[in-house]
Amino acid sequence: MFKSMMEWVDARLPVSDLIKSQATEYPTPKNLNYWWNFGSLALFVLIIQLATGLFLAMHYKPDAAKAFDSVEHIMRDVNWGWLLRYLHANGATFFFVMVYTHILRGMYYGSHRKPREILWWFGVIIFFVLMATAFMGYVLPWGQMSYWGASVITNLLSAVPVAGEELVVWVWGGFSVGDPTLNRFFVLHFLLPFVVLGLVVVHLWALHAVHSNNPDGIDLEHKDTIPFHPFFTIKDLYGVGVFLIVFCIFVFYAPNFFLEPDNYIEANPMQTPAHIVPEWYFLPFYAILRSIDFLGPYSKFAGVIAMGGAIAILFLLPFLDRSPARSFRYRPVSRVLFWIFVVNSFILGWVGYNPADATVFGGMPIVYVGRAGTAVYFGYFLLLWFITVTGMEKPQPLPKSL
Amino acid sequence: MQVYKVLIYKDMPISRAIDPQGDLTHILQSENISSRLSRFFTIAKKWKQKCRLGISAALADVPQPYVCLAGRSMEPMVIEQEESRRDFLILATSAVGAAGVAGAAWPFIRSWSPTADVLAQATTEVGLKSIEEGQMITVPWQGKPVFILHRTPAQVKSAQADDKATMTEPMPDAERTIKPEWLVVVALCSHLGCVPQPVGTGDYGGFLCPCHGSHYDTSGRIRKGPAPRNLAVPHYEFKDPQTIVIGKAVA
Ligand code: HEM
Ligand code: FES
Repeated sequence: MFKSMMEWVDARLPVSDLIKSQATEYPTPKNLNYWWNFGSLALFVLIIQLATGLFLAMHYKPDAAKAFDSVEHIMRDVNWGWLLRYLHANGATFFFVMVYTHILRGMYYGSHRKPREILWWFGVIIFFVLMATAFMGYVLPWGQMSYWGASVITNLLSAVPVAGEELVVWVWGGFSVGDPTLNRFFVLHFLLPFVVLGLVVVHLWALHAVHSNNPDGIDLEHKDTIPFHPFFTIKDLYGVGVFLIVFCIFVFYAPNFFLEPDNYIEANPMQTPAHIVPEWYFLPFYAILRSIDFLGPYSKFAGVIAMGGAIAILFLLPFLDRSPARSFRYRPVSRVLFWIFVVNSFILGWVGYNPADATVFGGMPIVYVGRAGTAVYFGYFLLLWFITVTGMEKPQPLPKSL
Repeated sequence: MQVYKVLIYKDMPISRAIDPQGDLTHILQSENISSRLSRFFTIAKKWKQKCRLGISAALADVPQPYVCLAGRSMEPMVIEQEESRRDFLILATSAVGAAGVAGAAWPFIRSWSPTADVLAQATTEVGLKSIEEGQMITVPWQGKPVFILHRTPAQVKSAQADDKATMTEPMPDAERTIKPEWLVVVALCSHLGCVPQPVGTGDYGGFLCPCHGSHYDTSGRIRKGPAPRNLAVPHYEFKDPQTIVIGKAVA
């Protein structure tokens, strides 16, 4: 019965072919490690965000006078509303955990190298849109952090030469962040995740055109691959299980761990909280923004350029790395640089979390740490280029096959 | 009747792949162009569709078009004209399309700008009578906080004394006030728009922006920190000695 039904469908739309070639029998490297789970995990979290977001939107009111109350209404009155919101708010956090791990995986194993440049670029675009989505989502509850975070970030646009001031007024739809801003951010926050979904389709299309990289970073022969199903369906499901355990611990036992208490105070345009912090996933970039404070009137624009550049430089990565070996497994120097980069990102995050005028180590302004961290961040890309273009790093011999 | 179009070029190389029998190579080696054409046409007619495909495919590696043979008429024409005509048509169509899209986008873009009712709330009237010397109030104007500080003689003096100090955006205190005892500034930090803390919190006796540590003096001028400009002085007028109107009415 099912078989003849599928035959009828396949004659009209070759579904079975697609499933076979792109999923069940899709050849997958047999040596993939657990770092390869984070792509499917990111997709899983995207689905959580889409589902919870859709149902939150059915109760949420994008109106400066009502938004804060409507979120409290979701928390207190809507059946299971607290669960929807905590899933959604913590989902954003875990989305970034997945995406950051996924990106670092690619940087370590050289997954951006030829022929995967377009695949990588779509990844960077997704990351970019994701940041915009999360930023606008965080504005919606209209708490103090929502409001002032939005103020600080939209004000970055005023650093644009010539048209900056007009640009900000245009984005706000007024002379400060206000009701029109909230309303358009809600619409965009609703829309962008679906744009992300479309980008993910192209990302996967590009992946399936060139196939997965692997921990050894070598081109594989067919004998080195195994079918996606059942080997990776089961492995990805296992990953989802582990993730759900961690996720649920936060959602049910520490739902406000990643949220700021100040965001439970309604937005007040007349008063800035003593200390504005962005969500943790923006902290390293925020630290880079603030570390450029020594250029007088040009500091602001330079800071914005540095922050944008910190993400944009990922686009260039496929061309900066010139080593004959993709994977850092066979590249001792790059490996050391990589871990310095990772540790440095955490240090930048910590700098971003602290007030700008904080001092550390008995009196040193923290901004010095921020500047050093910014230098290390960009230095990583520069050094990676330098040691590979000059051939200073001699990769260890690569295996011919697995 | 199958209508087909074939193209022949001077020195047209035809690859063996599309011309397995070598007929065309043979023709193209013959001496004058008219004999090439007529012999070509005979074969082309025989090949019909197949021939058309074969010949068009060969276009790719020929930089210099020579003549075009259209249908069965055998009327040669210069293909360069045909090509530039087509280029022009494509270009013109794209240009009209792009202009249309740009024009149509404008209303959408402008819909984000402040609406008429937002613009209408352009002024705020504030009574100064109840503000004691040394006291400061914050009033909303266009959704933005405005500090109104009734400066003490000491604060005025320190602001005026600093006129000659080096600062990011030098400006004498007299240009920033209408009456020296009243300081009216938009309380948004020129760095990233936080509200600075009340007078007396920063170095220089003025305002400290808590976000990234910008210090403004008692005239609201930036003295230290990342902010690039002084606190803005809004347009305001004394309606009478006890009342100011902030902002300009917008039509
Ligand atoms: C890329 C996926 C998404 C991310 C990263 C994301 C992120 C966020 C964040 C960080 C918040 C603030 C949470 C809080 O502090 O309360 C939020 C709120 C919200 N989001 Fe999303 N979101 C996503 C997808 C969606 C979708 C698809 C919708 C609707 C279709 C949606 C609707 C909402 C609504 C209505 C709120 C306000 C309620 C609340 O604050 O909990 N989101 N989102
Ligand atoms: S917003 Fe005031 S110092 Fe940055």
